[in-house]
Formats: sequence, structure tokens, C-alpha cells
Amino acid sequence: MNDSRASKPVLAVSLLLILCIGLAAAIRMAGSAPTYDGRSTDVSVLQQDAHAYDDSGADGVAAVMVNENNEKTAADNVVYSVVFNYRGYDTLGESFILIGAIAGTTAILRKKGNKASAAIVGTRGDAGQEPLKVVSYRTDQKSRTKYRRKPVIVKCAADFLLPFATVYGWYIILHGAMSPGGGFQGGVLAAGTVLLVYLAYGLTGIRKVFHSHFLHYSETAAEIVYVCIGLAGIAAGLHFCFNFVFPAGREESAMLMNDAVGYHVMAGISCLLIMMLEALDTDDGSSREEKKS
Amino acid sequence: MILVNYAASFFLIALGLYCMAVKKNLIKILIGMGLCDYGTNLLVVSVGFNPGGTAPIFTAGEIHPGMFFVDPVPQALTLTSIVIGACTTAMVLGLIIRIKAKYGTLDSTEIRRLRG
Repeated sequence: MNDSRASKPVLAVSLLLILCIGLAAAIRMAGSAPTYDGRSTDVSVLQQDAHAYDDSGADGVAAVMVNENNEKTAADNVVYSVVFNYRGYDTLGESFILIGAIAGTTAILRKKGNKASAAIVGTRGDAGQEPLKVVSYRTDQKSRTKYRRKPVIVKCAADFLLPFATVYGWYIILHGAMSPGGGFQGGVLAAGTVLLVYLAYGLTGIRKVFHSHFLHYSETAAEIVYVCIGLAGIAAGLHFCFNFVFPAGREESAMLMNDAVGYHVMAGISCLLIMMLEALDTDDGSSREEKKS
Repeated sequence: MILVNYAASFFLIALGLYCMAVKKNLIKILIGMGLCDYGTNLLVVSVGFNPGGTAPIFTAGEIHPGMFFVDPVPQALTLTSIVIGACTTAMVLGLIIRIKAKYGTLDSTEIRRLRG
């Protein structure tokens, strides 16, 4: 107790200090010039003829990227071309962070020596009969009553909103080359449907609808597709993540990379959510039993 | 006007640090981590802002003479930051689920105590 009393003023002073330094930095930063002065680039001329535009005035990384964007990457959205062309390696590493998070969560939420642990992500959903056995092994009656107890309004609202949520998520993914958005944001939005299903139908609904085993594997497959499209540039004698423009029209290979990342994020976040909801349900059941006893 | 963005981002970071330092509930500590994360994202996006600039997209037919772009690089970096923040949050939530199952409480002082 003595320790915490002594540390409270110290904590308050240090937090105030951080806040004051932050505010001073904010005032100083607000007074300074922007990192990239876009006024020196005539965007409308650049859009009409990128090859004829004079790049010599480019000052800094952002100016070079904007000036050479149309010429080198053929993508409309500069943020998108930065993520998938200029920084293709970095996006690859970013996807591996997601894989690492899923591996870590699987390791944390795994149960040792308990047969019901199979319900978390591993072997369930593999064959048609296995998961049913696992479900019935655990609190079968409880989940059934839970399933019935869900209110009708939530169920109807979820039924109504599910198609819109899915279409909106995939619209953000597929339209990433031309508008703000892209694989990462749209993937998370599309994965939100897991929570909608959970709200309406509970864990039983999630077990029936989602194939978490398949999601887990196809997520890695999407990552492999990303690497293969990136390597196609090297195979053609150019650089990694080179943006090929297909002869048919405005489609580029970076769009396929964007879709692969979108699927990867959607499958990965869905997997994470399903794992967590499964773990939460078992914990709720055991803690309730403990409280009763 | 950009001063408001900067001040708000530093305020969010300080608020997140306060949550992490003072609160005892693990979920609240996680919320503090999230606040720090969002404050940093807001700061990085604000750095690239330029008053009067448009989104760095060459939309056909919507680019007029006299328009200019904001800095695209901080926006792309913020994408990375958002994904890492989401992954960290997910892993911490998984840890909290295990802690709740093992100790039966979310209070960090209770968890720290010796058990016999």
C-alpha cells in the first residue's frame, strides 16, 4: 500500500510531463512546413501524359512517388501503389505478422490433455461426423438452449444485414485500386460477418456456417499466391512486385495481389474471431459450473 | 487547424498511457493500448496532411488544374500500423481469455498475488 501511495504523485507528474511535451511538440509541428508540398506537382498535366512530365523538380520520396506513379506502376491510387509496388516486401512482412498472430493465438488458446480442445480449431470441421461428436461431448444441452434463447429481432436484423456487410467488405477489397480502401481494410470488414452470425445464432451457428479448418489453410494459400505474383516480376527479368498491366484493359497484377491480401486478412481475422469465441464459450461454461458448485 | 489533430493525437497517447498505468482491469489496460495505437495512427496521418490537398488518387475525370495531393507515404505506413495494432489486440485478448480461465479474475493485482 505504501508503495502505491508514493508512486501516485510520480505517475501524475510523469503523465503531465508527457502531455506537456506532446502539446509543445504539437504546436511546433503545426508551425512547420508540410512534409510534401504537392503544389509543385501539376497533377492534371501529370495524369494526361505521365511520360512527358518533367520529373527533375521532384523533391523527396513522396514527390518522386507521385511524379513517377503513372509512368512506373500504372495504378491510379498512389497509396495503393506504395503498398503493393514500392513496398511490396513490406506488405509481405505485414501479412506474416498476421500469420504470427494466428499462430500465437492458437498456441495460447490451446488446451492440453483435454479432448474438447479439438473444438478450438484443429481437427474439427474436417469431416462431417467428428465435430458433431465433439459438440455433443461438451455441454450439448446448454448450447442448444442458448441457440433457442436468441431473440428474434437480433436474428432478423442479422439476416437482413449479413449480405450487405459481406458485399460492402468485398467491395472495399475489389475496388482498392481506384478508391480509398484495399485488402487490409476490406478484409477486416468482411470478417466482421463472423460477429454478426455470433450475435444472431451463437456459437452453434458459427460451428454450422464457418469452416474454420478450411479458412486456416486457404489463408496460407492466399499468402503463397501473393508471393507467386510478386515473383512473376523476377521471372520476367524485372523486379519483385512488378506491376504487369494485362492487355485486355485497366487490370493489373497488383490488383490480384490486393485481392490475395484481402482474402488473407478476411480468413485470418475470421479464424482469430472463431478461435476466441470458442475459447470464451468453454470458459463461460466452466466458470458457471464453478459458481454453482 | 492541423494543431487540433496533433494535440488530440498526443492527448490520446497520454490517455492510453494513463489507462495502462493506473487501471487494474486487464480489459481496461487493453483499451489503453488501443488508445495509444490510435493516437499514433492519427499523428502519422496528420503529418502527411496539407491544407487544401486531395486524396492521392488519379481518378479519371476528377483531377482539375490547380489540384494537388497530400503526402501518400504516411497513409501507406498507417496501414501497416493498423494491421499490427489489430493483431496485437487479438493476441492480448487471447491471453486475457486464458488468464480469466486460469485465475478466475481480471484484476491484475489479484493475478500477481501468490497462491498456495
